[in-house]
Amino acid sequence: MKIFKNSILILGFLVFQSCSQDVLDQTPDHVISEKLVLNSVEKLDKLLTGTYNEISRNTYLGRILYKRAAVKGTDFRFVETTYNPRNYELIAYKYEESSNSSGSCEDLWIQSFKSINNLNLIINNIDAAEGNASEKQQILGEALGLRGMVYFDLARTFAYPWIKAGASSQGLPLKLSSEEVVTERSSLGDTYDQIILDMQSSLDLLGENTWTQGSTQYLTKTGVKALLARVYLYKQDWDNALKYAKEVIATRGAENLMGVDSYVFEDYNSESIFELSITSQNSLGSNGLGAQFDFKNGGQGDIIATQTFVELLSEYEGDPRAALLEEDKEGTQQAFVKYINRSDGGGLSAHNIPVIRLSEMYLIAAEAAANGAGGGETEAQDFLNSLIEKRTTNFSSSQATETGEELKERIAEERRRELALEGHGIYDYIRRGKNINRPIDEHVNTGVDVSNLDIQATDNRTICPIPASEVEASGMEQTEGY
Amino acid sequence: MKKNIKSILTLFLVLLVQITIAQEKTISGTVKDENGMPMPGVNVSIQDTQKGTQTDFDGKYSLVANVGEVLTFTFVGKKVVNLTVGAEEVMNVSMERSAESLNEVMVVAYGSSDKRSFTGAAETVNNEALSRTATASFETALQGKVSGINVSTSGQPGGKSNVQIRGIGSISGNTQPLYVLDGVVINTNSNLRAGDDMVGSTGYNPLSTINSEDIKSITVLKDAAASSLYGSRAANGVIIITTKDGKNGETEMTLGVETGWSQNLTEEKLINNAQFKDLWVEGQINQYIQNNENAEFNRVYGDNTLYNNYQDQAVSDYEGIYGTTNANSDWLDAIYQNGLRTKYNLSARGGNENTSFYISGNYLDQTGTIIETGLKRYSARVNLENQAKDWLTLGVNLSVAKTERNAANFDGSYAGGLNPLYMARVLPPAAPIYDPEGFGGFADLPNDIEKNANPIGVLKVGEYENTEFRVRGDAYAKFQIVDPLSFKTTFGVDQQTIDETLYDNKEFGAGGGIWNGVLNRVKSEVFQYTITNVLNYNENFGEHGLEVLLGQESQVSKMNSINVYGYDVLDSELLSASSIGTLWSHTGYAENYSLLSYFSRVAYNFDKKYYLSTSFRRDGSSRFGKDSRWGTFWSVSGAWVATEEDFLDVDGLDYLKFRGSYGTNGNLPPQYYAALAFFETDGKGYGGESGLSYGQLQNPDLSWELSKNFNVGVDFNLFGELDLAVNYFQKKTEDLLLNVPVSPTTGFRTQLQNYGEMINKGFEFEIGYNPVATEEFTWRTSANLTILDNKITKLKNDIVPTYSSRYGQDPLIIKEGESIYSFYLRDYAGVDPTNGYAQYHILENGERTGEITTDAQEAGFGIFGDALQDLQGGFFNQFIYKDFTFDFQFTFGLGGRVYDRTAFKRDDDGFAPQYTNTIAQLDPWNPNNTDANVPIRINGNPTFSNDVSTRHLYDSDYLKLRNIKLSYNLPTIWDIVKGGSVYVQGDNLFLLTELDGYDPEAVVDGVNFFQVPTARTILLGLQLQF
Repeated sequence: MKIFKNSILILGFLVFQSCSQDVLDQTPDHVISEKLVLNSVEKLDKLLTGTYNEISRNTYLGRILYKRAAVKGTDFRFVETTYNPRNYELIAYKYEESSNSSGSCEDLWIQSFKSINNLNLIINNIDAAEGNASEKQQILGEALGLRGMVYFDLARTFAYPWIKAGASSQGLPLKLSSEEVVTERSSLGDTYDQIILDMQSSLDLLGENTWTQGSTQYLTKTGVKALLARVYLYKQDWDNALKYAKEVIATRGAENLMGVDSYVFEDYNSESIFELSITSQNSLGSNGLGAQFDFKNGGQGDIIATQTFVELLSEYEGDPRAALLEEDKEGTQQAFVKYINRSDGGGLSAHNIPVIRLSEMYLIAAEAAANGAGGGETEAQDFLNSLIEKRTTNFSSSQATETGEELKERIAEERRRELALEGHGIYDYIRRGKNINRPIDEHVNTGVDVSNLDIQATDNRTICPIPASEVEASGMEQTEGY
Repeated sequence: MKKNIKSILTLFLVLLVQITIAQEKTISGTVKDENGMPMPGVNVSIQDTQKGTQTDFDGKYSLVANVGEVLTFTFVGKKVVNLTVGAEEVMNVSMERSAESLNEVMVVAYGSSDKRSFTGAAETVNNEALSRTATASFETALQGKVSGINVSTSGQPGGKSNVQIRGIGSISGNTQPLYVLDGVVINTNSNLRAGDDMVGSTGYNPLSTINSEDIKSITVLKDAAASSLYGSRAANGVIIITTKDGKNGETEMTLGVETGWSQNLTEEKLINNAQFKDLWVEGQINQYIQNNENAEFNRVYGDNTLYNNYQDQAVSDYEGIYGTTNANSDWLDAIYQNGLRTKYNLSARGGNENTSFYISGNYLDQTGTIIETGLKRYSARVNLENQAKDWLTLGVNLSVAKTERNAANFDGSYAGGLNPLYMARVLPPAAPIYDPEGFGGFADLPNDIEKNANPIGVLKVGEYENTEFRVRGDAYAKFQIVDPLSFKTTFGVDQQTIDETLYDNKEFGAGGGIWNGVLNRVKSEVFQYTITNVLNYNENFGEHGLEVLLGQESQVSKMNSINVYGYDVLDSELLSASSIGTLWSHTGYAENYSLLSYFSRVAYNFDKKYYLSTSFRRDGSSRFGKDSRWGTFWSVSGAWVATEEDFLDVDGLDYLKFRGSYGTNGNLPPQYYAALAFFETDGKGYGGESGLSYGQLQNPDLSWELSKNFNVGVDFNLFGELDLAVNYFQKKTEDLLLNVPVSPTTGFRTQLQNYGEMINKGFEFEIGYNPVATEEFTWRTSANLTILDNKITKLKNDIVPTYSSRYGQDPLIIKEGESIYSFYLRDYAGVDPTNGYAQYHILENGERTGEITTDAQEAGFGIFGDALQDLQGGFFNQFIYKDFTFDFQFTFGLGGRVYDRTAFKRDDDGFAPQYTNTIAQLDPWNPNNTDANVPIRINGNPTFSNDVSTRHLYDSDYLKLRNIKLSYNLPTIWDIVKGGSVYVQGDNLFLLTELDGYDPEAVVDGVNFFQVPTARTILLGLQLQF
């Protein structure tokens, strides 16, 4: 019996030696747990940095939103199928979106909400977090401004434009807290109210701009004002659009518009108000924006300018924008290379991405005035001509003198020239209720169905469907028309 | 304490003295079978002692025993012989066949059992069958050999296998069985952070570092009674691997040499250059008509001048891309090759009364059927056991192996320019392969079909090497505390080091263009240790037999990896991390996991007639949140040997046993930290600062997937010649680990949750028969059959596939009430003879409305069968005539279907005109050929006719000649060579199935998508024994 007892002792020793409960606590060391982040201002600041990174990804402003806007408009097209374009945004170009097949819309939707959730975590937790009060104010200000911007980009992409049915259209699910689950869509009016509220709150919190080189890679007070001008323009609130555009113009002035000789699309140029920094930390290579339009050095160059656009660029004498046309994959001079890879390496798509620039403020101010705000058509012509003057060597022959609808058309044309590939293409048609007409001979053998060349401004396929994965998972209401 | 040790020592001294005073003598003899043939490898042991030996090649044995002791002779399939040592010094034995080899000892969870008293469903496969496979790892030999198991294998040397025991148990959790090597659970997780789907060489097989020649037997545990003792990881079944051991007696050495050739079993039939040109031009003409002539094909085809204009234009377009001379490239011929295989094996086993050993060394060199691919393996093993004291046995099993594997990015979910096998199978014959002016002599693809993607250039100039070094082993001590109580403690280690070099040169692959070469260097290491303590009590009280097992186990696994990835590589020969000019990323991970368990088994039998057994295991795992960390798994089982009853004494019915079991098993998520909310840091920086981003939604409730297993079975033996076993099983998996789609407004697509239920149920039949058994000629035959039905019975919402412009729509749906791999397709209705468009029966809620449409968007979807075979099995025949043995094995399946997803790019009616086609695309509809089976061809085809529909759905019923072997037993040569054999063997010699280029045994989900083809292998082998 003693033997037995001893054996049990030995056994017991062996068992307990190896069964401490601590062994079951295993944590990764390449990720950070929630509690470490949410109560520290320093970590929430890093979360804000990470959110800029998310916004710059190819699935949001790093490619999809800008490329989709371009290929759904009249000024860009895919190369012919025999040149084997990649299929990114091909569905958008062909207007083949359906409730089951949203093309890139799903990625854009998820990436936008990924950014929004990061921002919500910051906005919800910054008050209680440990840290410096002025830092808190700066972080919260940027976070609110960015949230407004992301919701705005979603609104113009996934909801019908304001002109169609105003505030009563279907808007977005407004998820404003990281905790809550929101799958009910608000009205477009509520959506815009929230966007404006976020941006206005942001303005109250942010300090004045420093304008040091590189400071515009973050959202600044002037950046928020510029975005507000754009938001009001889409909401057809002409007075406010003009007001904020003029505030930005007052800060920067025409001296910061690039001239015919200084028109170079480099990082942090004089027109920069808010741009996304792309470095090796968030480089996108062939998935990025620049590689889509430039086939040099292994880029794809799948998207080239249409004849319509080439002609549009040739209207002014000495227009520096026309000089951006280069040889393309098909052997013609229709590659529009606005985004130039940095000369010091970094590979494809190594360029910053402009979010909003000073020249757009002149165009917004002009359009708002042309629609009756402020000084009306005269003021509109002044703003427009201030820009045109900087884009031609022969201003007198290109000076805008139109009035009425013609003036509005002239402003729209100038927007196509000036803001091409910067995320405006399709939006500038549908927000003004203008149809998209793509001449058949400009789109031969590009894979697009002939019946999808001319698209009504109110066509459902001008906007994205709510992705099928969202409808399946949460039962979210699909957009009318889909 | 001292006093107690003293008393133990005293006891052993007493025992020792007893043994020394007994009268010792040497006994020898020969063991023969019922036909008078000498039997090697028979276990000879002295009852109630640990002493014993084995017979040699001539059936001879010799050992020292005492008069009055009982010698026990045991051998698989033979009746046990007991002889008491008397005056004689020579004891010859003849052994007879036993019914159903009831005394066969099988290795089971944490111990062993004889077949008669085992109450679960399990099957044992011996070395002879396992070393039959021409692949690097043993699991492929199980296909068609064991019922209820389905093994899908890639043709890539060392490539991944997918092993399913009794169906598919999980949707997002692990689906592979648990592997136990010499009592220690081995690490088969692919958590190495190497071999990434997009950049790496995919399809890593954790079993390829095990030399199948070292394996003595494998036990496949199928039901709860057999496997529940492994608790939280046993839901997908358990495979127990036991390696060879030593024996008492003269050292035996075995030398094996094998060489062989392999080629592809399956290959699709592609069009030639002239056909490609014709189809391309026709598609281009039609594209012009569609775009410029309002798609009025009949009118333009009727207008010769107009038609000729477009034809000239189309031909000039073609020549602009592909030139005026035909390249006549054969891409398949360029990427495929004849594989070569060489294997050397040398092993020795022997020992004396107290110590036995097994030592082996193995070298395997296998080149794949794809150029620049292959596997080299160097492995060695030492198994030692020492009877240190009468009450203590010590042992070590240790193996080291190194594999060098060359494989590029095949067999993953990615099919694009960086997957050379995909490219070679879609590139047209009009695209030249070679160009004397090109880099390395390889041509660029016309019109950048894909940038820098000449697959031959990618493979020839790139480097895709994965080296694994692996040490597995365990040391154990068995204490015979006091009969019948024993204790065993085992310490097991599994150390795995992976070194991966993935290099795309400056011209081809990801390194082309601006990058000047791209290099990815990965080092990853996993160390796992396991401590197992088991206490055993085994005693008979008259007619009552009782066996109790108590155990405790802990396992800890620690992974560490470093990965550098960048471009601008100085030279193709310098592939160290410092050759990277500019870094894209440098990452490192450390991921650990641990498991703590307590378990017990109690088995009782009455008169070896009625058996009852229960098992219990409690597991705690680090993979779950604190609150849901522990799970309890159990089983109850029983058996009744009916032929032991007096009332069942029927002539011819030699054995009849009924079995039944019910119990639970668990399954773990593959992710280590799926329950935690955390923020990611990797790649989240911006503007020169590091950043964070929300990385995972928290799920504190995440817990075990639970499978409830029910099994009933019956085992027969008739006339000592015919064995039959039948099982019915039902495996219900609850709280499925499922990537449940969540609202993307969370920023995530899915979250791992416990939701849903799935049932696998079916029958298994095994039959074995010896029609002829004479001294000169023996014929053995066996067959097995599995009937399987899988159904998802509960799901939050259907996981409906969506369209991707790159691959088309995913053909599989996950839907409540359907099998897991169900096809969700349009209902194809042939070609509309009036306009050439593909037609569909309109489906509403999966039912035909009676209407037909040519608009794919309107056609709707329905479910059209599933991938799993309803019926699957194999049959085996062996003929032995004198020294010749001939055998062959067929496998088959019935009722499964396959969707040909390669059609999206290759049978695409012109959707992607830059790619080649299969011959199924010839003779498309046009106004001059209205009675066509192929829709109208339009380059850039916008009609979706290449997207999912029943047009590309095939039956995957198959019959395969899986293995055939002819061998000749060598006689003794000059007393040096004691025996051996020469043989010729063929693997996968032929396959009958509907779809060209598809092997139903290679793919688990029934989607044909550019997998590495199965290899057909011929082997010549020589085995010599010394």
